[in-house]
Amino acid sequence: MFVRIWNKSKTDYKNYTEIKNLSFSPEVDTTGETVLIDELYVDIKTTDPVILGAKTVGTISTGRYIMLLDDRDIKIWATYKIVLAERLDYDFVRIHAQSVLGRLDNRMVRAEMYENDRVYDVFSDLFRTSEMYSLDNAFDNVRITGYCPRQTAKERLQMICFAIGAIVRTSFSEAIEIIPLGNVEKDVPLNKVYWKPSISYTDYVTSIVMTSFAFTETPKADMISGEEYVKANGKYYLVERTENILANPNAQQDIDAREIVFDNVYLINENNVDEILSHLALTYFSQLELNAEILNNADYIPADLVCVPTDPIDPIAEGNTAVGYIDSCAFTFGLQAKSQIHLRLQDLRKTTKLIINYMRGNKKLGRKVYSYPVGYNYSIQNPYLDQTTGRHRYVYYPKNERATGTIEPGTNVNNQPYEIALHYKMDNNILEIISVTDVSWQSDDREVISIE
Amino acid sequence: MDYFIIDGKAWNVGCTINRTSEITPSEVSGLMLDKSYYNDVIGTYLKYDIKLAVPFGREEDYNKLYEILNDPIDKHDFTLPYGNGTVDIVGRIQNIKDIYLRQKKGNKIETHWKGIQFSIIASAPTKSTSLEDAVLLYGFPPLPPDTDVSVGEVYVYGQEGWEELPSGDDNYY
Repeated sequence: MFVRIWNKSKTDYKNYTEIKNLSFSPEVDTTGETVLIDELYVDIKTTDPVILGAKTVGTISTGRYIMLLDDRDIKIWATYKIVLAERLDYDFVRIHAQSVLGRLDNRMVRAEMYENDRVYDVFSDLFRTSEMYSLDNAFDNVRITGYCPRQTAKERLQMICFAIGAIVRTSFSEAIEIIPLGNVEKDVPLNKVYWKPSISYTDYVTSIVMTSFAFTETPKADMISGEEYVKANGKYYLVERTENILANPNAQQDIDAREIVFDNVYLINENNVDEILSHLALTYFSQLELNAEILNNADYIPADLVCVPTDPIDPIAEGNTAVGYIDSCAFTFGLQAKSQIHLRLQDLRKTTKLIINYMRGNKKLGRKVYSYPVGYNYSIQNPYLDQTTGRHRYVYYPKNERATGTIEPGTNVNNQPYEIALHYKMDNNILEIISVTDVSWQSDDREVISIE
Repeated sequence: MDYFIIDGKAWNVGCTINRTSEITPSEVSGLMLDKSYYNDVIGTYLKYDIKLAVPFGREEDYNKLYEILNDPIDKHDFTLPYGNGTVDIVGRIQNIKDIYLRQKKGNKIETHWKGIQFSIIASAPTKSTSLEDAVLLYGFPPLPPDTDVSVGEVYVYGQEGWEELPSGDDNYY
């Protein structure tokens, strides 16, 4: 890894490869309730003069962009703004940087009443030219209706993202990303998971209570004391509230109620309340969480939907695969990188063994062992087998091209029939063609190169 | 032959050198869930443990060398024996030790320092690998292959999942 620090106009940069104490732990809030500001800490070796406080004497200063990059292929891990640069000693400077989201906290935006406005247009107005962002295609035609009070730009971003079920991610990109939660499962193989992940329980949430809103424009003269009104762009609006409750179907009847309440998100209305409740249920109704260390060169990042095996393959026991959205990755760097990931489980699938036996009659020619989640529909190609015993060499062909089936709980066994295709007797150099229609030869050594 | 060179100055003295190559893994190394050990190697660092035998009568050289060695600086340039030749490394010095002897010989008291020994630890690896180099030089992927075990891959300890059937058996035909 190395860092790249840009000049103020972002037209030139300098790379710093001698770095230490690199701390990078990006995270997202999968509920959208908050927008998290990612931070980067690094000590870089340089004798360049550095800005300290308000003095302007050097080349590294607050407000400049710093990028964290991968040695391998210049993959961008972070593009942040330097908020502090202090010289530690003659050789090293400590840099503290954070995502540009932090700067959105410094800017206020006025109250707005949105009436079926496209979020695409709303974000175009919200972000300044210097604030790079990207809006996922999934939200291209999404619209919002409701009220936003006077607030910081970051609060506005959070409120809109919450109302459309979007997540804000500020790592692994040059821009602020506004994205949905991942919907494509990424498998983490056994040999990328460190020994040993842990699953723990969180408190049960029995229900989510969400207030939806309707607004009616009301002339000031018609306003009634005791009613709730909001003001935007010089107009007044009567507020009507409706309570919506989504109960946890998995909550047991005899446990104490524990509700999560949202009663001040004015962008929630009758059109989006069900969708947002479902989105929140993905996190809040999950009782299990996973902590695991995985070998991770930014292949698995916050908001990804991942499948993580939690148990080693074992000839005896079944294992489990945890499925969920990554909400944090704390990285450790070497030649490669690993990360401590945390996720709230969406599913915990049993994995079990599948044994495919290659049989000729009652004789077992060989076998292969697989690990699959229960319910998985498998389809595995049967290979040709080439085996030598004593002075005989046999080529066996599979009578079925593929072994197929659905994984059941417990050990699954699938016997696949084979027949002899060729039999080569080494003692007398005779090749018997048993069950094939044609054989091609190469040279006088009679090396078989194809069988039909 | 000059035995070793420190910061450009050759020291032609007798010595015993113990050489150690440390193949240094990073914190990313560890035991994986498939029971294999992933070794994330940063590089090979040389360490030399040197014991000098400065002859009597060369106390001035001895003292000069000692003062160079115990300078509070972060590193020195060394040229040291390596294989059939030498190697240039930049390294730090640790643990300088020697012995002060005070002996009575007849009516005279003789004193001298002797047996200076110290360790040199290379500051940078003499061999290191990038991910691409590891693939080119050693023919194995630096990352474990991206197999999707959780949706079906062969994991049998060792190699391929073939069972070894008893020899001499007519299992095959």
